[in-house]
Amino acid sequence: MSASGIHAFVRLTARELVRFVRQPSRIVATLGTPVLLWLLLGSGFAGSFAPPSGHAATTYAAFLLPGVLTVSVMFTAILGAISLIDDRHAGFLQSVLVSPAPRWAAWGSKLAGASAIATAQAALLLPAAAILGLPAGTLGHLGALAALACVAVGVAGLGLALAWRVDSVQGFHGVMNLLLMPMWLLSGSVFPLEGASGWLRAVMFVNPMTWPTQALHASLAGVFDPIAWGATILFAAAGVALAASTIGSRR
Amino acid sequence: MPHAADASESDTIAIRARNLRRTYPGSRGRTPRVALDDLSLTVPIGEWVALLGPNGSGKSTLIRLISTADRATDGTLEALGSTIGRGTTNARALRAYKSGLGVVFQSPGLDRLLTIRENLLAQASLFGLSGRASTERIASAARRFELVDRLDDRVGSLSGGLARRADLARALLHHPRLLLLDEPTAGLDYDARTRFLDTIAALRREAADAGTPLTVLMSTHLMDEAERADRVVMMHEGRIVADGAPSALRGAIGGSSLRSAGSAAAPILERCLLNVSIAPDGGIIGRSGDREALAAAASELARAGLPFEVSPPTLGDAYLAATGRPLSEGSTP
Repeated sequence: MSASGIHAFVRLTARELVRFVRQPSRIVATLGTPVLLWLLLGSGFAGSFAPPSGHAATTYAAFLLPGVLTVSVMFTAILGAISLIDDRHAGFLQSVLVSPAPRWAAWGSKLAGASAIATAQAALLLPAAAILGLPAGTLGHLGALAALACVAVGVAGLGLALAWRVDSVQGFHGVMNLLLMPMWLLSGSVFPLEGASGWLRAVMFVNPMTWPTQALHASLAGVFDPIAWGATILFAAAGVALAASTIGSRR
Repeated sequence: MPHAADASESDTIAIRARNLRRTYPGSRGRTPRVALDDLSLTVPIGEWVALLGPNGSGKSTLIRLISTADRATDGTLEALGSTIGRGTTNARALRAYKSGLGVVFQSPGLDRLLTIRENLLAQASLFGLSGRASTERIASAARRFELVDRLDDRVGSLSGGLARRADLARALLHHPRLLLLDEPTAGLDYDARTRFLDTIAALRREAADAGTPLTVLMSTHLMDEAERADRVVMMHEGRIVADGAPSALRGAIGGSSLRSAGSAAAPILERCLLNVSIAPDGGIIGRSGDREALAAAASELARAGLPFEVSPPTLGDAYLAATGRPLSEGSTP
């Protein structure tokens, strides 16, 4: 990893952040959608929700918070990955790829930029945990932030690998919606894993998004869940490996 | 290993392509498309070469191969002393080659959401320039390309001509030895095109005066652009069909052209033994090296009341003579 490679990586990551700030509609869309989801679902199911035994959440709004944080990170990380397609169409990606900068600086900056933006944006919603009475504490908040960062890295890596192969934004959206929405719905974000029926529970068990969500639930409850954390870190590592193997090598 | 080209050759040759071939797989059972077909080309250091041909003739494919954005299916390609594409495995040698390369693609390689300065800083970082070195290069480029007052404007707010100048500043920021221009004036009006080409010519003069010659390979489908180059390489269906100085290519077809708007001119020109072809605008062109035949045709047309004009041959005529097709007509895919 050369100094010039690191410099290119830092500069290109900064570019991702600047681009995000200069697109107000992107900020509104990625922050507004989960908040709206939270308000609507939280209010709609408020009367019919019974928290699972031993769960820290006493209301549906509190139970839904980790799921809202997760979906916020997923949306933002995916939009960050889509910008790879924009860069390709605009010609910017080509100018990066024919430069002597290492290939990892190109995909790494996309991954880092998308993950940082997604995590920072979700962090804005994190104080709601205290308002909703979740006993997270300082360590719990830090743990939640780390779990969100892992979700961001995993999803951004998956998105970048797909964006490298797909040439149209529409095609990308189609595939990601098909993949990400079921992953989120079956992650224990909307309804608890414990209450699911047999086959659905099995599907939720193998869903890679379930474990970061469980790590979030645990962190916001002030509990450490080693299995969920192990799987969460694995999810992030898989995202990095996927992006590296797809973009790192020549097409 | 990257094969270092022969030392004496690398001192004089910027690009050497041998039997280059690029095919793209056909989709849904279609036959593969041949973009470059057994193409061989040598470009000496310091030369300005224009690749002239219509869309689909293989110009952009050749530039993409030399820029490392794509790889040849077959053949060898050496540039700036290194073997690139097929056969290159050494990442360090490839990086060294790319350090000497400046590329302007058809789509500007600039981020429209960033300012010109931010784009140039990003470009500088890609070429290992940082701190004072990058600041000085950007200031110098801004002066050179008359961008000083616009450095902090976002690229999205610039006119097409200004964005192209900024893109050229980007491509030259690291002082490349080989500049690849893929239809760099696409979308610009005549004045902006002329200004862009004047800049290229001035840059070459300055580089030559400084003892660091700049080689330029530019693709275009416009005759007036190609006229500015030292040498024109005409391409058709992935092959080189003519190669030489613009004046030599024009001179090679000999004589003059006689153009008439009316289709009734065709039989008259044929009767006078002129080579007859149809121009893209539907006009009839008769060509001959025989002055008497041209004079006879002119008097026949005048007698028939058909308006006409006589002009010296153009690169378009040379292209038509070499391929049987006008320059504005795309190659068969």
